Amino acid sequence: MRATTWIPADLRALVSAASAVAYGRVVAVDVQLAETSRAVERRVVVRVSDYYKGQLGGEVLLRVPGGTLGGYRTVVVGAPEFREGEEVVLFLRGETAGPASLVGLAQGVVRVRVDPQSGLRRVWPPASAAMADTQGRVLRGQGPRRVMALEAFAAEVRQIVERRERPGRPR
Amino acid sequence: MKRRLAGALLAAWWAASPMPSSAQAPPTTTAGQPAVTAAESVPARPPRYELALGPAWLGGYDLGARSAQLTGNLGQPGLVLFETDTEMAGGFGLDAKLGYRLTPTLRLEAGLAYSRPELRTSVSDDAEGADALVAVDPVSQYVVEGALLAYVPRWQVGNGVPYALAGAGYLRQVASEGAAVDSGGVYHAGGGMAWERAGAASWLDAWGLRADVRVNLRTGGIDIEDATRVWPSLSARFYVAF
Amino acid sequence: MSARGLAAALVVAVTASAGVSAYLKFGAEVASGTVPLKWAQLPVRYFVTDRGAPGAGATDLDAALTRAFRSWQDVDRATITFERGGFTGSLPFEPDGVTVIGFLSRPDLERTLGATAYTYDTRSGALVEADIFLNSEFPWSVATGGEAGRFDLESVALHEIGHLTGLGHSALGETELRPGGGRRVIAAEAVLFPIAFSPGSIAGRILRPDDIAGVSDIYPESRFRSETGSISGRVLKSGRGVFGAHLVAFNLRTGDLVGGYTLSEDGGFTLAGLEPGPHVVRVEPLDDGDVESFFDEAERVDLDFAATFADRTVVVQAGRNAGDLTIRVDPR
Repeated sequence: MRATTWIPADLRALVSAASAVAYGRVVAVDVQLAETSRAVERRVVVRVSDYYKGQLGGEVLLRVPGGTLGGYRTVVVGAPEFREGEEVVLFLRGETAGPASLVGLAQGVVRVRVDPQSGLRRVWPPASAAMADTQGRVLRGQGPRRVMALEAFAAEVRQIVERRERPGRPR
Repeated sequence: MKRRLAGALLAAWWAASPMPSSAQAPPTTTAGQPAVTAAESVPARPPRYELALGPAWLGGYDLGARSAQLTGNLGQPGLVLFETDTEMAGGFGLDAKLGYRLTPTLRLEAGLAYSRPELRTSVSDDAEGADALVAVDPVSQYVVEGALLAYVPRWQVGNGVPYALAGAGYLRQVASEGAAVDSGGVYHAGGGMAWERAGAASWLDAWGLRADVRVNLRTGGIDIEDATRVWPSLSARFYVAF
Repeated sequence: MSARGLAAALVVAVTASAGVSAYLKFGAEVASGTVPLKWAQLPVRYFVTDRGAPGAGATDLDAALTRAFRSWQDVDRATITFERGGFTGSLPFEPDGVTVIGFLSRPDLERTLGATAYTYDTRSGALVEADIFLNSEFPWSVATGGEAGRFDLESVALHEIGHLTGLGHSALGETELRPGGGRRVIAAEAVLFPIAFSPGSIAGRILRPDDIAGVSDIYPESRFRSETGSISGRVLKSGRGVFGAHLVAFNLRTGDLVGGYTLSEDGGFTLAGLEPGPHVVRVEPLDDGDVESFFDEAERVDLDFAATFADRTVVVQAGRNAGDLTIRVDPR
């Protein structure tokens, strides 16, 4: 569950705000007190398989608020949850050295669903122009299936990156 | 208003009704045999009670339209998620009455009317393209009512004698497969025609057929507003008098 | 406990506590089972961080919070109450056993206006504290009529306090893409909709029927169950239950919209806290990209169906459940 008030980003805004977009697997989740604020936070290590934008190295360290310490659990209902072994696409802000942060907190996480039989990897992507009607409204239950193959999602992200890097180039 | 209506009906009846008993003598045919009329020659034991049963048709009535509205963002008028238009659709029912003949031309009756109208809501114009449809909930409707019937023999047409009626009752509606029960009041007024024949058995003084049309008025009951609803109805009842 | 267990715990708790629920109610799994996340002791005592932000000083924040808390406390059929403890130098999200609300500078959370965090005892499930942070990186307003270009502090506070009571998000809202990128709200009919109205809007200061039904469900006053009714049923696709569908009950008499979700694998739902009267029920998928705003285990949520209306008008009566409504949806 989420308990935030947020300003939503569409896919273009997420790509624009991110210094890196990475696809990888969660390999470790640890809980500790933050150094400065003493708030409970999780340190999430993601082993990156591919970058769609930027480059932060083979492993990315994320700091995510919330976790269990001692006999108490802190849930920052707004922060994403991570499970060891799951595959994710992350929209990140950070430098190569040091922990990275997620763009828009939970908005910066796209879960990769792996079909257990076929192995096909699919995502439900953030809102994009493909989801909107001619008036720009994002409608539920409308239009073509919104689930995308991971490869198609990666291609779309790369396309957005390319357009931003070459703004004068026709689509 | 109800008192005035009742008073007007009573006055009309009084003005139109003949003097009791003597005017009930049936006209004779050219053969000198009495014709069959609604008011027979005085039988050995005048019938006092009536038992009537028959079908009824109830007209429907509109309940109103509503928009499912979301509060708009700054500078926006708000979003209508979908539109609705609701009615209580008419249908057929059954009517059972027990009557008492106060005078040859005045009846008092009470009984039960059962019908199964449908609460129908047309849903349309969904903002996200959901298919329009008509959502339906059958309503079991019971009315326990009483009425005063006033016959007007001087306006007899052939074998049929017209009458006026007015009454009121208690309404009970059961909807959503018994999950919701609501009640109200029903008032009605109208007129009809009765055809009667002498009975063939010792216990049966007479039998006949009555058909009438009514205007009904409802307060309370299942609704989307606190409003009074009006609808027509037709009924036909076979009756026995004893 | 690992993050996996935590996520599972929250979803399991929601499912288990969905017996009569108009909402997602926060819950947690402890050794003895699942417990709802709610305040056992009332009033809820809170402190205000003695720190301001652009457009709103600490006293402005204090006043806005007072108004927002009162809105929730004034809900007729809910027993939740609050008590202001005063100003504090503590910051929100510090594990100090005290409920603190205040501004924090979080430039890394550039799309988060505010957030709520719970801390509870994993042995008993007792709620220890619930902090709210409001991001001072944004321009805020406490003007009575709102202020162009600034987010209304009272509106965001009202939303976050709704979470503090134990309420999850409502999906009663529609969005559109902005020409320059991003999304904005077209319209919403719940303060607990996760996306804020635009800067300058004060429409989020008023609790809607959906919010009122939710908080009354968690902290019911004695009249709540006797004066409102509910609708139960299932959403089915190809004969199988649909998990995570969003439902809306529209009261034809009052115009109220109250939302809910299917919270079990058999597609079962209950929409509670409904005012008496005839209702139209609508179901839709949460496929506009915000599934994780409502469900931790988003992969369980079925998104492949079109918005559909129930083919039966449902008359709700006070104190009763109009059960057994089946809504069949088709794959897209």
